[in-house]
Amino acid sequence: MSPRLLPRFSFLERVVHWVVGVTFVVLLLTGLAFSYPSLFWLTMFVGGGPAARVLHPQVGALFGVGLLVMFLLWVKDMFLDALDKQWLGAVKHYAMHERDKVPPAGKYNAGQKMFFWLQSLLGVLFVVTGLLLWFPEYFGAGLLNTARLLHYVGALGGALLLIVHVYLGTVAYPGTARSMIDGKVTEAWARHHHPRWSGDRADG
Amino acid sequence: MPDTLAIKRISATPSAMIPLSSLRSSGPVYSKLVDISKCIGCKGCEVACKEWNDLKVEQTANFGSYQSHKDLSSNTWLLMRFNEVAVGDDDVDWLIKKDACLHCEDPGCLFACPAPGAIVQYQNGIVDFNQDQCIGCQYCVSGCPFDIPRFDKETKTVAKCNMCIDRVEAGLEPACVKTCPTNAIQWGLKEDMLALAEKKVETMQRRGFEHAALYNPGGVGGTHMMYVVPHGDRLEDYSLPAHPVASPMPLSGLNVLQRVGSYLLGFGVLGALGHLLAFGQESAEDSEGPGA
Amino acid sequence: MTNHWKDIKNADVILVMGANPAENHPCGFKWALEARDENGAQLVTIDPRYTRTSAVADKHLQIRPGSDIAILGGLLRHILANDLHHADYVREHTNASFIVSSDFGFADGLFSGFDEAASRYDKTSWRYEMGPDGFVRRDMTLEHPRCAFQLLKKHYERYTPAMVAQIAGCSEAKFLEMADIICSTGRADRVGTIMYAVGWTMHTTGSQIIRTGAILQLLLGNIGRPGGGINALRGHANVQGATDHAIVAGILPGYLGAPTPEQTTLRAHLDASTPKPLVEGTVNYWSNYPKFLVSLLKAWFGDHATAANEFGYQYLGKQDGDATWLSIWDEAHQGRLEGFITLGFNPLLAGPDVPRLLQSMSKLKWMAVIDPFLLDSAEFWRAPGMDPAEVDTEVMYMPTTHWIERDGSFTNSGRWTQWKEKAIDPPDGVRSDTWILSELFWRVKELYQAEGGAYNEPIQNLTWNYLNPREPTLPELAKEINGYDRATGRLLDSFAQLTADGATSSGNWIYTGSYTEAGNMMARRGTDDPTGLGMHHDWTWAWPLNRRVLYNRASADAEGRPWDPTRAGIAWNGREWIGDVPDYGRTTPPGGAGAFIMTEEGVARLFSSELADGPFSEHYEPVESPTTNPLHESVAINPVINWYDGVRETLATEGDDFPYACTVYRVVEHEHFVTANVPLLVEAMPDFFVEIPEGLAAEKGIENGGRARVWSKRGEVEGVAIVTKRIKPLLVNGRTVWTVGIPVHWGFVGATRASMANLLTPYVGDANTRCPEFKAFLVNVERAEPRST
Repeated sequence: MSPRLLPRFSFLERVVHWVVGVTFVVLLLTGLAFSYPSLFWLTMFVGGGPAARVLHPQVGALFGVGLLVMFLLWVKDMFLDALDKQWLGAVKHYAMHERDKVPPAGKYNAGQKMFFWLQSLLGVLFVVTGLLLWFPEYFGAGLLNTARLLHYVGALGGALLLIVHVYLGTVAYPGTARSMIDGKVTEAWARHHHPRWSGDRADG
Repeated sequence: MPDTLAIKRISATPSAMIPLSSLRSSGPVYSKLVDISKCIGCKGCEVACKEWNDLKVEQTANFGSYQSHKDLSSNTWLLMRFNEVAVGDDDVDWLIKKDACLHCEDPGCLFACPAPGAIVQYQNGIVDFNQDQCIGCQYCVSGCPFDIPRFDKETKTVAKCNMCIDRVEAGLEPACVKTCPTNAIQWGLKEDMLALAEKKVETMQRRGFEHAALYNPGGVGGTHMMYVVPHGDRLEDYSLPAHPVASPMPLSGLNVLQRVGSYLLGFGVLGALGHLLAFGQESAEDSEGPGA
Repeated sequence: MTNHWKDIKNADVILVMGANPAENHPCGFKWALEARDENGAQLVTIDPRYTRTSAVADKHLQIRPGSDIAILGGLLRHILANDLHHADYVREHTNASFIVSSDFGFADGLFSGFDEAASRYDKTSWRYEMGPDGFVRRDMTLEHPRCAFQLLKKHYERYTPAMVAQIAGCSEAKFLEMADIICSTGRADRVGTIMYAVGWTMHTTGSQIIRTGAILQLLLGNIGRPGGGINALRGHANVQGATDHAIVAGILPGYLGAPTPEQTTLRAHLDASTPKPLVEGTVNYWSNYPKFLVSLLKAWFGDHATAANEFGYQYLGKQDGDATWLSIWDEAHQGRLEGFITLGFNPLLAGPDVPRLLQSMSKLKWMAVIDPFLLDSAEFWRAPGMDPAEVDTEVMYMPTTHWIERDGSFTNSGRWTQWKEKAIDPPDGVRSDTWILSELFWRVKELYQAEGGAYNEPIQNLTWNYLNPREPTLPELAKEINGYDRATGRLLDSFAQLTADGATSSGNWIYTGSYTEAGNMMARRGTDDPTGLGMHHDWTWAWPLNRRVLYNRASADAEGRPWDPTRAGIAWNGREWIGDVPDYGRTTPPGGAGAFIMTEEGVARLFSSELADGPFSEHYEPVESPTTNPLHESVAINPVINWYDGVRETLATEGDDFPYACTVYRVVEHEHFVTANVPLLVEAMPDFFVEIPEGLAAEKGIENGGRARVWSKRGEVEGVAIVTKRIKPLLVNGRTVWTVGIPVHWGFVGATRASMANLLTPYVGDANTRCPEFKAFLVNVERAEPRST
């Protein structure tokens, strides 16, 4: 018997997610190449150093647009409610797979919501500092060097978020990743991870 | 990139990776010495620089100054800057300075450059840009404490004075030195130029410039174009930074952060792995059990 | 120059006045900087503007354009009032002791002998008192009230610091600071030099400005000495050579006199040109004049010049009027000039009052322009404001080689005649000057042969002995100039070998020795300098006789001991003079003759009747002046300048609104009007500009980098405003006077085009040379609207 499936992400949401995801990886790899001489060879995947320099901000622009659409699509679900705050208090149990000690999450748990706000914040940082670095001839050295620093800090944060995101979405919680492929999750997965959302869905 | 000159540093390349064959150690270390008190602002050097290096003639327009261009460009590597400064109520100084790459011993541009081989520092002191390797990020521009390198929008690369490296390699002085009619720009071994500078400072002090000074800033490890400045207390009037640093604060911070960051990323991956080993996966089906 | 470029390094004081060598002579200027740094010399500038030279000088004094004689006269007074002169030198080597005729006098701005109707001086009262022996009476104590020294002292007594400040607009204190420096070299162990250029010559008092400078140097004992002298910085690389070869009106090559209509025979010309000694035993070198002139005639007419036909003297034109620049174009203006050939020169931009010059050119039937570039002059008919349909002048243009495409010689300011090599080949089809001029000669000659005509004989008899008579080589010409023994063909070593009997020939006596049997002396490149003074006798060749410092006998005292042994020009060792090539017989003992061998006095002249406008100089205002002459209001301007018809009406007068002093000049990035065709130099200095002092600009609402319009009574210019702190307001006769500056390099042809500076300048010249008064005139200024692009 095939498990009952619930629709979790629309086609648009999935496209936007992957646009942001893929562009971010490209940005991360080319950015790493610019930051670490030992990784400069990564630029060969996009056609070499000069091409990487040209592509990085252009891909960045796409990433920025994707992130903006993503923000608009999801922001309404991302405000923390009372249970979310309790969830945050119990995040230790969440991490230790003691799900019974974790308050039930809605469509997104508080961790995901925090992730959303963090990535949005980093997005703004990327775009602002990235724009400066894209057109350096219009800005002073001090500002540009500060932008470089902040851009790197953002990238570091983004990279760490990416690790957490991929790990939790694929390895740690099987059944999650498919929501970004065919847009569906099993009802069991939904009840387990997002009981309040699954309830809503059932009611609906 | 001349292959007969010994290399000291290459951008985005650990010194361990520079071929040993090109790392011949002791060789002559050169420096230009610009005696500002002897410079008459004739722009002979500016023109000679363009002629020797085959730089494009740019359309200029007088903007209320004897200065030819408002700023350096990828086709103007050397610019005579003119600055009128009032002295008291009645007098004036017309300060004229040759603006071009100073060829730092610790080159901020090279440290800032992410493209391996795009900037090469030779043992002789010359810092040269290799446009074939340049990716056009312009980090060198903001990495330069003297605001010298300039981006070329057509070639998408950055350019600056290369100290006429082809001439130097052939045993000649740079074109600007050769052409200077008053010997305001001199060329030789750095140690000789330092000795000459000391003499020149004494001469200026005798002439009443009590603050005369050599400009060879330690913050960048010294430079291979040094100035002797009559008004050493008024460096800003010559648009010379008083305390230039090879890697100023945001950049030095970035260097540290990048080192820390590489560990953090490693820890991130390891942390995930550790979590998996410690707590395993959490499958929705497992907890629910069949028949739910 | 009495001295030479490298010699400037030997100076203790360098006065740069009426010149801007950093700008116009940057290569030679290095020696001034070397003196400043290595010799501890004081380098000072006196100029209407703070220039690029001032930027590296020790001190600068800003003066009003045209106040030079006031300043220099003030310096003379400063010396004489404070006994700062080099007393031994003045007594020994100048005419200080000469008694002047009791008829001589000066009152109310006029010297004795003024003929008001003719606007000239009768100079008979400007002479020495002669003794019964036929020689000048002297008072070696210099106390006789009519000795030149006392007259000099009296004449310049009026130039007090207060008077100088009132005229020049500077402060008394600053003038005195400057005077202390300049007048500090009146000692044996100190020496000073003057570097001047067209900032002195281009005035209606230009010759007298230079003379005042010369008197200053004589009082300080600086003439003839290494590190001293009065040094004219010549404009182009070869202006000195051009002058030596008689490009200026009124002379023949080697500064021989052009025959006049009254000199109807060779004998009459030689008698009038050969001076008699005024002091017993003087060398009076011009007594050799006949040798130089006859040798010149032999060079020109060869076997056709014989004793029987006065060596072809009658082949020479007899100049019956003035043939200087202003006069030539005045002839054209009056419709009396038919054609004009211009070679290596852009006359339209080079002369004053371009609107008048355009009228003059339009009256020519034809004009031939021979130049590497198609100059503004070749297209004068389409100058701004001209209607080409109204111009009937036929203009021919012939491209010719640039000097960079030819070998040949340059004679620099220091009289060093340096042979140079061709650097690049000329473009295909472009002919050399020598080809063009030879062809011109041959075609004229052939036409005369066919048709006959007036003045046929000299043309048919002109010597033209060249391997290829259609294009002589430059070495051939150089040998002809040097001269040779006509019997043996041997090239001569010295003008002392020239004779007046037709046995020798020389195209220019002062160049004899430049190309000898030993080879082309001008091509020598020896760098030895045994004196350590930068004389380099083995480097090229200097006229006369490879002498590096003129009048060098004056570098030593009566006994032949150098005033300063560390900077000896020449020294007597008991048997001969050693050091530089002596300006004296090599073995003539000191005391035998005067140090200044070219004067009939044997000494230098503090008092001189040579010039048209006075035996001493006097401050006269420029013909356009913003103020009165406080020395003598009734004789405000030079009383003996020549007025061309209609010029007075083109000058600003009382009631006209031209309140600002204006001066024109050059910038280092350009060479006159040629480099408007050189992209790299146009890039370095792209646009015509007007330099306006900050205070005036504020008054007029002119912004730096904005545009300004400047107009005189003759024309107007418009350009980018450079609003500057480098020109200060002056206080002249109690009133504030502003100075505006304008560069000359722009015309309406070339890669950079803009206003011609000479649209503004007045058509009036120096009383002696008629060199135009480019350097001081009046204008008004206003803000101009930005140009629409």
